[in-house]
Amino acid sequence: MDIALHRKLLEDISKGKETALAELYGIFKGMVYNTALSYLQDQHAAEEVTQDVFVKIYQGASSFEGKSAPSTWIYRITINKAKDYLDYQKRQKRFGFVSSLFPGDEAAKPIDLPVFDHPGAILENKENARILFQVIDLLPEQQKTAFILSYVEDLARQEVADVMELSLKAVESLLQRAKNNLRKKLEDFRPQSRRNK
Amino acid sequence: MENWKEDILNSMRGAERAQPDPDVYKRILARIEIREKLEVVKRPYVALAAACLAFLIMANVYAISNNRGVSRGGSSTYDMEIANYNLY
Repeated sequence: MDIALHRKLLEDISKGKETALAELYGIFKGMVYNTALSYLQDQHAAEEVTQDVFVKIYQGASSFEGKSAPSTWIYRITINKAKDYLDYQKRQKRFGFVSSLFPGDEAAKPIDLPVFDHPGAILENKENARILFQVIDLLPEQQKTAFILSYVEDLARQEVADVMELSLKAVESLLQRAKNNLRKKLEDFRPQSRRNK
Repeated sequence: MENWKEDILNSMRGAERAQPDPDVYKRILARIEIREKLEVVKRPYVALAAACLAFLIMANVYAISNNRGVSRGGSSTYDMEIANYNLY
């Protein structure tokens, strides 16, 4: 990662240079989209969040203080925007619940959560990745963030700590708890043949 | 069983990054353009709202200061009327 180039691009964006935004988008689109997709498990939602993130970068480039690497700053925006999107969905569901109290309403129908297939997963790991994303979604927010950044985005522990603005120790503890929780939850997902062994 | 769990936990290791639809960048530019237009449209309205607020404050200050004069005058008239009904 060329941090100096990324800083220069952010500086140019703050001056309103559209070409700099295009270049930055070319560099970070995969990182932003992939993180949002892992978090939201929906391609349409991930594209919405990707748009939100780059609009935010365009508007907030001048407020980038340079205390962290630009990639860390962009990861942070992505996680926050993904969380905002999930909160918005939760509010919609709550409204749906209120609507469901009135009989004959469409919202009364139960919602089936779709099974998510990550487009980047290696073919031989597709089945396992599908199960992984089902259990990731059951984790508490902080553990989910730490796990996705570490195990899906493949960031070093220190980078995860920088993105989440936590100490290295706190991230290691979060990851340990996340893995323990995932192992417990996987008990319910194990195939019948393995369960009998 | 434990191996299976570890395989699941590590199933995204080495995975490729998913890429967004090629149209996403166009949509970002469209959103930025819309926001900038909205900002331009908003600015005169904000100035108008500030001018109205300033006018309302000035009008209120003027009304209050004038009312004080009226109430003083009213009080002196009232005193005179009372004096006229004095019993000697």
